[in-house]
Amino acid sequence: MLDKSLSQVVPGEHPGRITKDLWLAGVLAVAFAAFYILAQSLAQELLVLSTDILFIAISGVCSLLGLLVVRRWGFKGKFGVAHLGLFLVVFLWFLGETVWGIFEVVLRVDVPYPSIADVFYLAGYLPAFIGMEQFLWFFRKEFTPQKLAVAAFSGLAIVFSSSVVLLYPLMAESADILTKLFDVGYPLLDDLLMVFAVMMAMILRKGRFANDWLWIALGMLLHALADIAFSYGTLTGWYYSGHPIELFYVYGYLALGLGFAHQTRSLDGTA
Amino acid sequence: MTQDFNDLVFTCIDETLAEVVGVTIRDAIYFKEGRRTEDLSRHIKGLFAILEKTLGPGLTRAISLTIAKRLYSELHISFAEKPNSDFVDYVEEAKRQRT
Repeated sequence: MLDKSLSQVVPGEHPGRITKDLWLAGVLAVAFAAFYILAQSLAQELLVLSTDILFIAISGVCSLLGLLVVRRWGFKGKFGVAHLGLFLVVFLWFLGETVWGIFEVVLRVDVPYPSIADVFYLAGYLPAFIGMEQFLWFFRKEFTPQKLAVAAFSGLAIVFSSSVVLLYPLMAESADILTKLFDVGYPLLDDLLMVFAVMMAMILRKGRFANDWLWIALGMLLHALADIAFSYGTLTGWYYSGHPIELFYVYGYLALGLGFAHQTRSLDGTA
Repeated sequence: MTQDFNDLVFTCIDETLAEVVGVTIRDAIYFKEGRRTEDLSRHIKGLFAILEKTLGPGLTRAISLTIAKRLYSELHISFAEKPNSDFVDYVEEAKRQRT
């Protein structure tokens, strides 16, 4: 046993800084909720413009933080590939949000779904899967049946929720097959990313990166819930651009951003 | 005395890896590395080669600096980062300063 703890030698993230970050996230969450409530009283055009700008800004900041993680730890090695995959998913989602905004604000298309924006949203999943799969496969022998059961259970909960919420409208509503495919596909893809992130957190348990991956898993969970709500809303016709249900996406980006920000500082005090 | 020093280096590596990447990853890396050799520098080189393959050079360097700082702290000698030094150099320097 060593005389000094790791924190005494390399402090990593200062506990005060974590508390400050949590406060900031809390304040931002309340501010975004207030923004959405107040924006409901705006004219539809202004509501669409303001919420689209918010989406582009928050996904842009998230991409920047993802890039900082890649810059800090590199993109080589299994862990580096996982970081690169996560950066690419948020960057491609940022491009998707931008294209969505252009469709709505410049081209005046009301709820552009499905559209070219979906190409970017969907393209993001692939590098994230590949990145995390590379890391997890390398350590596949460490996954006991209990660990796999926990990960599978967290994933099945989302599959069950999306089935309950989406099954009836999918059968009853007359949307085209591509839309229905996307309606089912998005929540399932988010779900799979969340399961992978949970597995990353489990394998890094008690290490300095474990909590960061839990934030990332939470971000994916919120995206999955947002996609279920969005799919339900567009199928049943109550969704409009700027609807408060979009807060799930905003909070999802917030959780991802927090996970990335912590990752850059996990070993503060080293080069 | 050399044995004590080697044990301290191994303990620093064990505990730091456990606290940075977790016990599961540490033990899996040890398993992939194979049996620990008595030759300290050979052991370190083999270990860091796997760490680099798994965690990438950026994180591996940060971990090696963390372990080195911890080792120096345990030996009550001051640590100074050198641009072109690797972990083996830091260990050799620590051994030299100690004697």
